[in-house]
Amino acid sequence: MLRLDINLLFVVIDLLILVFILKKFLIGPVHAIIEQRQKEVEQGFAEADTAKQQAEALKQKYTASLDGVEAEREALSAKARQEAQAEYEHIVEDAQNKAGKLVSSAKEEAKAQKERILREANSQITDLVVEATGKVMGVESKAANTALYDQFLRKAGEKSEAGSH
Amino acid sequence: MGDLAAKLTEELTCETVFTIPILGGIPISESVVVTWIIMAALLVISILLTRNLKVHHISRRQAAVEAGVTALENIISGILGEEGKAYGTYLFTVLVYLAIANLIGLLGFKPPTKDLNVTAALALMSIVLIEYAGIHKKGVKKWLKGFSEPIAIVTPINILEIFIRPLSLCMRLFGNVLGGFVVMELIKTIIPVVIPVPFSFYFDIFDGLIQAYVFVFLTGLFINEAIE
Repeated sequence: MLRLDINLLFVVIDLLILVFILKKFLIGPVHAIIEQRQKEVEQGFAEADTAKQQAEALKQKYTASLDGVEAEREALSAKARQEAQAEYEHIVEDAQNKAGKLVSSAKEEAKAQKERILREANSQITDLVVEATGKVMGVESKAANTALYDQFLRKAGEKSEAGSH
Repeated sequence: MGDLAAKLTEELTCETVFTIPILGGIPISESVVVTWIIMAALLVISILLTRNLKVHHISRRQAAVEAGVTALENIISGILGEEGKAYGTYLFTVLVYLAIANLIGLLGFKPPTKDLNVTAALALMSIVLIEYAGIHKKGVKKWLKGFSEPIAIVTPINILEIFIRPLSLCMRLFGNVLGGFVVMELIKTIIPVVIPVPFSFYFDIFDGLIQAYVFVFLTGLFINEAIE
């Protein structure tokens, strides 16, 4: 019972072997598997983090591009409106110009027509008057006739002008 | 009564199981043989328990093994602290070995801890580990200086502690197991029915586990103290 001998050494050796056995066959494998699981969990967390960040970045990108589209659309529509306005003004101006030209040309033509008619009338009247006067007075002298009807014409012209006004 | 004394003596002596016939014969005691049996059993159990461990969809066996190992390690690391982690495996082994050694009487074996050789070996290893931890952590110079702290006058006491600590560890374990065994034998001889059952629960199971824990607790505490 109370003896110390060589068996003490055997127990020490046995215990050291037992430490090795437990470390190699019990604690080691259990630690390895727990560590592996831990690693997997951490990896999962890291992956989730990365995915979240990527999603966040994508979201920001999309928001930015949406804003860009909105601005572009706004700019395009403003430009179109401006162009339409310019076109409209151009057309209206053109039309007005054309109309003005037409009116003035018509006026000129009318004036020219009127003058032509007047001139024709004048010459016809002169002829008539010359003829009539010649017949009435019996004067054959062409020069005398012409002087006479010129005189008349002047009077008549003055009268007609005064009448037309 | 003479009969009882003879029986007790027979139970208490650690018999030599066989002798290795070299160097004039090396006697192998019963406690060493039982230790071998414990080692073999632990080896087989460990291999069986840690067979095809998986990361996912673990079996109930694996869950139990992981929980058990983690629980024991938590107990030990709680005593040792963060810095003494390296000594955890040894204390783990001692805890498991002592728990089984103290309970193996239930299976009809003679508990190895009833042999002074075993407890002395354990105590010797403990004090070597404690001092090694101190030297490893502080270096020889600082470790030597540590004996005269907090004041020089306590130096002899501190040096004595190197011998007192393992002696007390050794004797506490040995005495408790031996005392429990003797008390149980006496009770069984006087009243052999019913009454020994609650006493057996205390002396054979509870006390054995408590002593295993106390031994590991004190060793861990001394290591923790040495590396502080």
